[in-house]
Amino acid sequence: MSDQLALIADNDTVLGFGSLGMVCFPVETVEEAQEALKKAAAEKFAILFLTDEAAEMMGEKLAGAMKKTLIMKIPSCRTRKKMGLDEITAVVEKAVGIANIMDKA
Amino acid sequence: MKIQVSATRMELMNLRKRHAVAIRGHKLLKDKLDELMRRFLRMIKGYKTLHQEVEELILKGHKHFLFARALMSPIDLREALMAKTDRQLAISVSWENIMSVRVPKMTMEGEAVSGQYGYANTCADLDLAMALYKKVLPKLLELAEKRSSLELLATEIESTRRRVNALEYILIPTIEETIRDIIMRMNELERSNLTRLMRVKEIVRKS
Repeated sequence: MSDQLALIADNDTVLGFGSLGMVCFPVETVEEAQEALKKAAAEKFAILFLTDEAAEMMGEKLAGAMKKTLIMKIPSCRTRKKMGLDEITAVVEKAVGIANIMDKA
Repeated sequence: MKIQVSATRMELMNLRKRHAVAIRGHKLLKDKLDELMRRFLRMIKGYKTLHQEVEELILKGHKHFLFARALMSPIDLREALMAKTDRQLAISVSWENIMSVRVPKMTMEGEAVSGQYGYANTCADLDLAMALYKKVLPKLLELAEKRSSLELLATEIESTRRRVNALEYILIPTIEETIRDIIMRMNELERSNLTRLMRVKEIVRKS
């Protein structure tokens, strides 16, 4: 079973990172982001790469729409903000009880 | 807390059976939890390093890309990068079973396509950016795979832990208390029966 990768990001990131051969949805506004999310949810992708900004624009709808697809956040080309470890820290804390285990590992 | 049952030998037998099953289930689940935890901790190891590595590569790639964008004309850049590549990047997802948790395993089919543009109108930074993006992709997939496995395992660990605790602190003590109660009530019945018989015998002897 082979699946494609999708990328929802701003124009610059799509132009650069997306040119590796992903299915790209360039978004700049909230409406575009919502639309892209709908389109991406309708198709079956293995992984959806998202920038933080795009995720913010989608808001709460993101988690509901993408139940089966794996969402991976990447830094955007514009802000170049770092990828957060927060989400995975929360997961680790839920399972193990302490979060700083990741620093030791 | 006790289970509301009538104090009969039949109920006692049933409860003893349930108790044995609960203890066995508790042991099994506890073993499962230990193994899940072991796997989970092993998986966490190295996640942070991989995360930082991926982050660094992408950010570096972005930096070069921004340089390229600044140096080249937008038309040239678009022309270079939006050239139709002959194939789309695809990955195959297979599933691996870790303690009855299905975790994804991703493998890239073929290599990422990039650099299919002429070198006349493009600058070196674009090549660097593309090389970095290409290099980061397998690592990004690995990171995604690890992350999803961690999430799935965490959910399973949590639910298993709840089950273990429910068995250990609720179900097993309740069954034990009920068994004790039934035994005590049956002993009491036996004693009262005995005294009644003694009384009757006494009355019969006197008359």
